[in-house]
Amino acid sequence: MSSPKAIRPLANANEIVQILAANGPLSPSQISDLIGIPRSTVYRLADGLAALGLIEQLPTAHISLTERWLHLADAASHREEWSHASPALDDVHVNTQLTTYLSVPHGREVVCLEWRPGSALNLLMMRPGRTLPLHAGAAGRVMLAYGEFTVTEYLRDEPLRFNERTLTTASALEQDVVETRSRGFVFSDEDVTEGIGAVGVPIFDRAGTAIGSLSIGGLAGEIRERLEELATLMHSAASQVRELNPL
Amino acid sequence: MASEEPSGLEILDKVGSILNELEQRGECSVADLATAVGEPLSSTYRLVSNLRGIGWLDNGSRRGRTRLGLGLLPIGALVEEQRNLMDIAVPRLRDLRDTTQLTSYLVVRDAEFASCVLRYEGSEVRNLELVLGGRLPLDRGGAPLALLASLPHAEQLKILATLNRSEQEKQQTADDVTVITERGIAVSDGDVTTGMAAFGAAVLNQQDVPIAAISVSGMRRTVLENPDIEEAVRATAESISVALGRQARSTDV
Repeated sequence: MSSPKAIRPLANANEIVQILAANGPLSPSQISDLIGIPRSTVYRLADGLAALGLIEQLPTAHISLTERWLHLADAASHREEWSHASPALDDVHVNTQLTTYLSVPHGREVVCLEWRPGSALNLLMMRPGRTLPLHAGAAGRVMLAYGEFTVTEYLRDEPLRFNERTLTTASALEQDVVETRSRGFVFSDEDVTEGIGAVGVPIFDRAGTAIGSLSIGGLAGEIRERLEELATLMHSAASQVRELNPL
Repeated sequence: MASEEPSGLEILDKVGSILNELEQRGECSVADLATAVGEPLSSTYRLVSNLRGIGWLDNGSRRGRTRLGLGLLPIGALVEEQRNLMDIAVPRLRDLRDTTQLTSYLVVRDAEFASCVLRYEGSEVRNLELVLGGRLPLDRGGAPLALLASLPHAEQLKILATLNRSEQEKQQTADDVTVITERGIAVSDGDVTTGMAAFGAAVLNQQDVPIAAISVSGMRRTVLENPDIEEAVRATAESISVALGRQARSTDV
């Protein structure tokens, strides 16, 4: 089936939402300048979005996204296949005292669905709703190794370099995929944030497709010392999630 | 010639119905959505497909189903980061001061203390007990007590132990906490400054975690003899919590 024709007003409304999410409150003329649509169109779409409770006008006449997005995001994060994953996350968190994440692939990124905050919290990039690209961090690299994209397909766009330890070349990423698949887990060694490490393992569905990852993050030194112990613990938690998947 | 295109407002109206339906029901078929929107199946398919394209909807966990999209999560996370406590609290605490004419406070937890991060001066005598940047132990004063009462019980015990309170004082605070929990508001009557009283209420975030508390304080008689003041404090705390993403209490519906 060919994809149906794009609905222009919807694409524009989404651009307004994305620009407000990225920048915080903006005036209609700032929005118009940033996304290149006429101010009259911005006003009309803003009225429509306001009627749905998705944006509001502030006393300063700036437009802001509303808390309705928090509720929509919350509803979107409740997914049947993960409805029984909580005890496994709790187990890993209680046993390691480290911040524990459940992340799922979303296009060329992974998005964090759920977490259990632990130590070193303020230093960690990932939290619910935040994303990582597939070439960085434990959650991202697990999905590059086990997910739908080959390294070549993924590298169509220039990969973001967080620091000099981020893997950005095709050869480094190919090698990472091979290593990850042979040992069954990713060790993210300060490739996103200096001083921070993470371990990630894939979670499979009954058909053997990798549908997400379980990862933990903390101070790199601590993770490095406990690597084998952590990986074993997480593999058993990941199989537990797979067993409990109701689908 | 271009086919007849519905206006932006009509489209957004239908988007709103689809989002509501999926938020309430979880997963639906496109046919269910067409019924909810009151549109033919073909145009609903087109709209759903466009919404998938922008990440607002995803395929469901079962074949033929649609659900809210993962693309909504990063937007929610950014909104949460932007809607920080101070921005939300500033205008509301000013309003509270204006309506009550009393000094209004916002405190956040700092270990076993409550630190004052906002304070708007009322029209009465100046109370110097809790200045901006100052702090009170969590078992003294309206806002600190409201914060203490909303914490898990084990946490409360730990705080009282750290504060080195006597058995008698601990029992007194435990009784206060019971009253605050029942009434939904903390009353401090002369426990910080003789002749002064305060009402305090906790502020909860989207996950129902207490992250702050507000209060108003003033001369004992002014505070305690006006029932509107208690209600104003309650309503302000609730309004801050809702703006932080907490679902409004069902009694409001």
